[in-house]
This record gives sequence, structure tokens and C-alpha cells, in this order.
Amino acid sequence: MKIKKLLLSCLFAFAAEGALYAQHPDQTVFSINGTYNISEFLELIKEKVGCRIAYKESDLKNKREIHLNYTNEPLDVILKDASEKYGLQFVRYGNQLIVKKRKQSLPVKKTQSDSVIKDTVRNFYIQEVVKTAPRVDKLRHPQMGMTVMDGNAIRNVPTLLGEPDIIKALQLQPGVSAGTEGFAGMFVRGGENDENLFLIDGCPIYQTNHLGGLFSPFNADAVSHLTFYKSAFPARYGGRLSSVTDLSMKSGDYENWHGNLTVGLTSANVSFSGPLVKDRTTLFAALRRSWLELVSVPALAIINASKKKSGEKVIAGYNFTDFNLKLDHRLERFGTLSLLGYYGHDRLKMGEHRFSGDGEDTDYYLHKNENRLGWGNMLTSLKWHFPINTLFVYDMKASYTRYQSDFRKTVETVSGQEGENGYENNGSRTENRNAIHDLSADASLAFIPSDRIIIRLGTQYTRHRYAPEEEIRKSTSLPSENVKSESRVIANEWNAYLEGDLEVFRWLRFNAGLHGSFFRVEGKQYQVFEPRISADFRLNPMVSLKAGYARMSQFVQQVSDNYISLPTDYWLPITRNFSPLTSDQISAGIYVSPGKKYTFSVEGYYKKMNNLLEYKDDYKDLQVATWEDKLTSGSGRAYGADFQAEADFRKLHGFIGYGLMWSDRLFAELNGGKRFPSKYDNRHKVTLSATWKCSERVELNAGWVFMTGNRVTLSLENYSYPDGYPTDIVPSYPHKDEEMLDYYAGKNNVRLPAYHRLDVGINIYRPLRRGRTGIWNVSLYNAYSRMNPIMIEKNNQKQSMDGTPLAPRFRQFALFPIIPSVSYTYKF
Amino acid sequence: MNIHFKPGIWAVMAGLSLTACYKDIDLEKYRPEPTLVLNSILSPDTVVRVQIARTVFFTDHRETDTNIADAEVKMYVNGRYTETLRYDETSRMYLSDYHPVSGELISIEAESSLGHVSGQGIIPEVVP
Repeated sequence: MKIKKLLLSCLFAFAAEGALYAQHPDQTVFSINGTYNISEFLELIKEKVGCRIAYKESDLKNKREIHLNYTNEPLDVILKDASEKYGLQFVRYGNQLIVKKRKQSLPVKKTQSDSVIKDTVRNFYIQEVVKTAPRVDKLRHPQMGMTVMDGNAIRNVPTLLGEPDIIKALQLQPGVSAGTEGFAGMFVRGGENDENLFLIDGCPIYQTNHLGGLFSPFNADAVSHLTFYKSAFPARYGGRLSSVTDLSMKSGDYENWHGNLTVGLTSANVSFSGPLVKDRTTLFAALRRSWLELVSVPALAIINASKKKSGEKVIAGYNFTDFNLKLDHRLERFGTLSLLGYYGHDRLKMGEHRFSGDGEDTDYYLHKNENRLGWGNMLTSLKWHFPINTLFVYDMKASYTRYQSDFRKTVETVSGQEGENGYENNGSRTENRNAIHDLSADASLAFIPSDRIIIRLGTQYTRHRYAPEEEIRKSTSLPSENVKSESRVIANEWNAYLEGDLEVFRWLRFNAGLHGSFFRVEGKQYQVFEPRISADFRLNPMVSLKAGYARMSQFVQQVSDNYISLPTDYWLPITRNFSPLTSDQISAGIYVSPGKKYTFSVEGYYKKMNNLLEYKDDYKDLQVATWEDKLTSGSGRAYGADFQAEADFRKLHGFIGYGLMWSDRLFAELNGGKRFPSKYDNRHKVTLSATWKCSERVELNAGWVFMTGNRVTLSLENYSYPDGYPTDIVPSYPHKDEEMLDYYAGKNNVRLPAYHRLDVGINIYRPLRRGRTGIWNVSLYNAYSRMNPIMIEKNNQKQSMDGTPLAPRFRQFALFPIIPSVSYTYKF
Repeated sequence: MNIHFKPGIWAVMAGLSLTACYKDIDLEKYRPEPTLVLNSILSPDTVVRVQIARTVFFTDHRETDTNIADAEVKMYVNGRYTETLRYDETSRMYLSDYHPVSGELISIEAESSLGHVSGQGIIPEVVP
């Protein structure tokens, strides 16, 4: 409340001045005194002027520190002098400062420089050739609820087992719930886990978890930067209701080969980048593989050796792999051709064998029970990026995405020896599969006449082939029970958008557009028109008011009937019986930056979601023919506010976030038709995150999260089985003496205890010979070992030491205590 | 056919249970007022018998007798009130002398200090 009052006071104080920001930086004078390397100098300029800075990272290499001393000098004078001293060329264009390597001592001719400037500005916007400074000026951006993170920011979030994790980094944002610890994805502003659009260089992928959420499927070493939106989505994005995470993969280096090798406790990761043909063709590749088998296989071998005598063998194993590939080829004046590849897959197996043990006086027998799960994504795309001239940029892309999850259960019983009397071999195998195959083509055109206007338009066609529920059952003993059932759904989706980003005045900038989605399935066509608009009113250089509205649609949903969302939960498309999911979100906020080192923001939002799908309460007992009959449709809403305060000093960067949220659902066929809270109705969420660069070689980081607990559906009461009827009319219930029946008063009726956790980490940079670097990372996940419960069970079986039954009790189940980890990265 | 991979949950949970931990949790703050429960199995071969009980909080359910003996139980046949059932101490049930007939809609309503509960059903045809 105090923060809110403070912000409102600031707002009114600034507004009372009555002058909107109109001062041009050229008229401003600055004083600088000190020794700076080029990065520090650019950061200083950015802070003082508030401009965007674009540069090629390679142009800034090997620049020495320079002593600068200016007193009340105009910016142009400072830049001209610094240009000479650093051996760089500074080009001003609108609110951009372009930094380039000086190729000649004489200034570039004006006619040439215009072209150079426009090319660079264009590239700045499409974020391909130049790298933008990581911190985005939130005051000058019309988008609300947007976060930009580069590889360093992701790596600075301490995480489980020392694995840099994009999802975990985003979970720190206010308004983003982490779901169930160890299993979760992201639940953004009251949405569900499947309502987040993840794009890898513009191509969507479906599954975002390794081992049920313990590790992110995105290799942080392969990510250049990401942009995350939770409201006011630009019109070029569509397909999910609640958030968009646009990941830009790293491109290869056009000049030199280099790479990373990271070895952690659970996985190893190697990436390399360099020119296949210098200045023409580059390659970037990253491979990550878990190596838990190195521990689990010998451990299981020892366990199984000890159990061999008793005729038992335990089957268990887990691994994940992901692979990123990017091949860029410059076509001179025809732009760049890029081939992108991504593959991520998890395999989990559990089971047991029982067999005639050594010394047993019985005939040979073997009983196998094995369960195998696999899930993952595969993606490949070919993209052509073509700057037509200084005003137009054309992009075209063809891609194929495959998501697949499968579960295989094998049961086999062998008795006797083959060829002898009495030999029997009975086995059955059940395989369930859920898959999506998307073939897609898209084209887009950007018109960038100046820094103040960007017009984008584009279209995309996708052919979806869904296999919501495939089942294969094979039995060696009863071939009549063999079943192969397929449920294929073919759908065609077409999207088109028009988006404009306009700075009408220096105090007003807005982004507006329309996204149209057309989805044809089972002979029925759905159209959803999605208007988007967001505006930034710059009251003065320190205060900005923003407001936005966005409608989003979604044509496929991952439905879960478990408290824990599993990666193998089925993705089910909408059909002629279920309409597309839609959401409407309005948001408004204030951004205040009293000094370049601090930013405060408050955003309020209201989101309505329609046509959400859930399993019916009693779907397992229903004698239904298709998967559609198991589902029911309803609506949801979420509203609240996100507060964030950021501080960025030279060596210390951090933020405090607070999210206040209400989220509920309304389904005619669930909870007796009454509104009920959603599972992740986390009322309060507080996040503290800080990174402190103690020295050139040591960096400390810490993150603390507090969150109101998730909700679970728990039967708190019981009632008796019917009794006392004549047994010739009513058969006796088999278990009536053991337990009473569960009574469920409502859905998501109990809230788990609050969740809180502190993670700390340290990065130690160790310069090696020939410019190589070694980085040690030591992390503590859950540093004070808070056992955060993920579920509650009813326990009626507990006994005292002497075997006396104890009173029935509720018990909470928690997964992770403190987990230390260490990893080493070798940069070459 | 179960559409979900239930074994998957147990597989993942089993893998993680090495570090997992159970602890008692007090949910007294969620203790609700008991809810009235009506149980009746109607058959043309016997008289109408109705059992009225209440729910019990899980941690108490071993000790508590949940039977309700002071309810007012009314029966309706095809929407028409027919009688108020009497409580029988021996069977601890509410009884009527009426034998339902196939095809009839039988409705039963019960009222006690815990509230109101009702249920209804159509007596099915005899299966030869």
C-alpha cells in the first residue's frame, strides 16, 4: 500500500509540472569524469541519454580503458572525442546510437552513412546482426508485461542442480506461478501450463519440460536472448492465451571458432560456433545430455546383484537429450538463409523382473513388468531473411514440428523351459501415444521508414495432424484381445496479422494491430479476430503510463486430470464440438524511473478465458466411446496486480517483485456448476533477486520466492457405506469395514501451506591461457531446506511401534530439501 | 480405457522419493459442519428403507457414530407426498411399508438440524 501511495505521489508530482517530455538529447549537456572501458562508457551514455544502443559484439573486443573528462559538454562533442579515443564510430539515428568499428580515420561520407545507418537500424529491430544492450528501457517501450533476458541474465538465476534454466528464470517474474515444485511449468496470470507459447526462432514447440519440469528443455547456452510477454501481446504473436516466450537462438560466429563445455552433476553440455566459410557460412551447434546413468546403472547393478538370490531385479533409468543446430549462410545482397534444428527427448523406464531365484526348489519362471515413458519435440525450419532495401525487410520460413509422448507397458510371464512339457509364455504389451505433427509455412514483411514507425504484416499456414489418443494392445496368449485404435484429427490453420508500432509524439507511442486466426477441423471452420493495442503515454522523462488490450486464441489444449501436470498429459485439439479457447486481457500500469538506476512499475490486469477444457469429474466411470466425451468446457478469469522495483548499479543488479492475484474457473459440469478457485490461485507472490559482481572474477547471485500455496482437491470428510439391507437384495460392499467413502465438498477446496525458497549461487571466472575462460558455478537450491509440500494425503494406516493403529491423519508430501550443486564451464 | 498414464506418475514419484518426505499437517481450520447423507436402495421386492447419517471429519471417523435418528424423512411417489417414514431403533433405518413398483418415480427428502437432503430415482423394470 505504501509503495502504491509513493508511486501515485510521484505520478501526481510529475504531472503537476504540466510539461510533457519534449527535450531533445542534442540540447543536453553532460559531465563525465573517470576511466571507462567501452562497455561501461556505453552503459553510461545509455543511462544519461536514455537511448538504445546497438553494436556488434566483435567490434567492441580488445578496447582498452580510457580516461574521459568532460564538463557540461554536449553529447555530440563527447561522442566525437570518444570515437577517436576508442577507435570506434558512433552514429546517432533518432533514439538509436549505433556503434561500429572505425575502418578509416576519415568520417564516412554522408551519402554512405545514411545507408549504413538505415541498414543498422533495420538490423537492430530484427535483432539478427547486432546485439542489443540487454537492458530494455521499459519507459520507452509501449509493451506492458514484457521482459527481455539475455544468456547472462538466465545464467545468473541460481537453479536446481546448477542447470541454467529459462523456465525457472521466468518463474521469478511477478504474475507467474511456478506450479508444483519439481513438476511445473509456468502458470501466467491465472492461465494454465499449456497456454504459454514458446517460439524457437519463430517456430512453436509444445513440450517444455525435461523430467516433468526439473530441467528446462531449452539449453541456455544455445539461447542468445528471449522476450517474454504476459499481456498486451503484439499482433504478430498468436496461438496461446496467457504468455509468449520468443527465444532467439545463437547464430554462429562469422570470423572465429569458439565454444563452451559445461559439466554439471547431472548433465554435460557442449556447444561450438564458427565459420564454415569465413564471413559467409556459420554453424552453431549445442548438445546436452544427462548422465544420471553413470550413477544409476552401477547402483542398480549392485542392488540387483544383491537381490538375485531372492529372484528380483529392479528396472529403472532416465535420460534426456537436447540438440540445437543453426546454420546461417549469407546470400550477399539477397540476405541470409538459416537452417534451424531442435531435438529434445526424455526417456524414463521403471519396472521389475521376478524369476526363480538361485537355490529355489521350483521350476523356472520369469515375470517381467516394465513401464517406459518417452516424450519430446523435434523441430526443423528453413528461414530466408531478405532485406529488400533500406525500408523493407522480408522473411519467409518453412518448418516442421513434431511432439510425441508415449507410454509402453510390457508384461510377460514365462514358466518352464522352452521345448519341454508345461512350457508357457504369456505376454502383453500396451502402447499409448499422443502426437502432433505440424507442417508450417509463413511469410512476413516489415516496413521501417524511421525509428518512429514500424509496420509489420505477415501470414502463416499450418497443417496440424493430431493423434490425441492412439492405443496398441498386443497379447501373445489372447490374440483376440489385440487392439489398434487410432484417433487422428487433421486441421488446417491460417493466421494473418497487421501490426504497427508508431511514435505519434515524443510523449505518445503505441503498438496496435489485428491478428486473424482461421482453424478448420472436422469440416467446421472457426474464425477468431484478435485486436491488440498497447499505448505508452510519456508524462515526463521519469514517468510513463501504459495501457493495453489483447485478445488471444488457442486451438489445442493439454488436459490433465492429475494434480501434477505430467509431460505425457494429452494434447487435445478443439473439434466440431468444442470451440476455440479465447482470452481477453486488459491491463494498465505506471512505470517510474526516478534516476537511471531505478525502475518501478505497477501493472493491473483483468483476464477472461473462455472455452477451457477439463476432464469431467467422473470421466473414468463413464462408458464413453471417444475422448471428446470425457471432456467438458467452461470459462475462467484472473485479475490482480504486479509490482516490480528494479535497481541497476554498476556491480549490483536486482529486483523485488510482488504479485497479487485471484484466479478461478466456472464449468457447468464441474463442482456442481459453482465457481471454484483454480489450482494455482496463488494470492500473493514475493520475489527477491540479486546479482552482485564482487570483482572481475567473482559474481554472487541469490533469489528468494514466497508464494501463497497452491490449491488441491481433498476429501476432508467421509461417510459410511449403506448398510442394513437384506443381502439377497443388496450385495454387501467388499471394503465397507475398512474405510468410509470419501466426500468431496468442492474442487480445489484446500490450500497448501505457503511456498518459500532461497537459492544462492556463486560464479567464479578464471581466465586461462590464450583468451580462454573457466567458470565454476556453485549453487544451493533451497538453501534453508524448506520442505515445501506438493500434495496432502489421508493416512489411515499409521501404527505405533507396538502395532496399535494411530488416529487417522492428514499428511503432507514434500520433495526437495537443500540441494547443492557444482558445474564447470570451459569457454574456448 | 484410461486415457492417462497413471503409471507415469508413480514412476516419476518413485524416482524422486529418495529425497521426499512426509509430515503430518493440521487441517482443523478446514473442519466443516457435518453434511447430511441419505442412503436408500429401492427394490420392488422389499419395503422402502432409508438410512440417514452425516459426514465425519476424516481424523475423527474411527470413533464417531454417524447415524442420525431424529430426522424427518418424507417420501413422494410420482411427485405426490405419500408418508413420513418412521425410525426403527433396531435396524437404525427409516422404514415404510410401501413396496415400490417398477416405473415409479420415488423421491425421498430428509430434514434435520444439519440441513436438508433429497434424492430420487425411477424403479427399473424387472430383468427377467
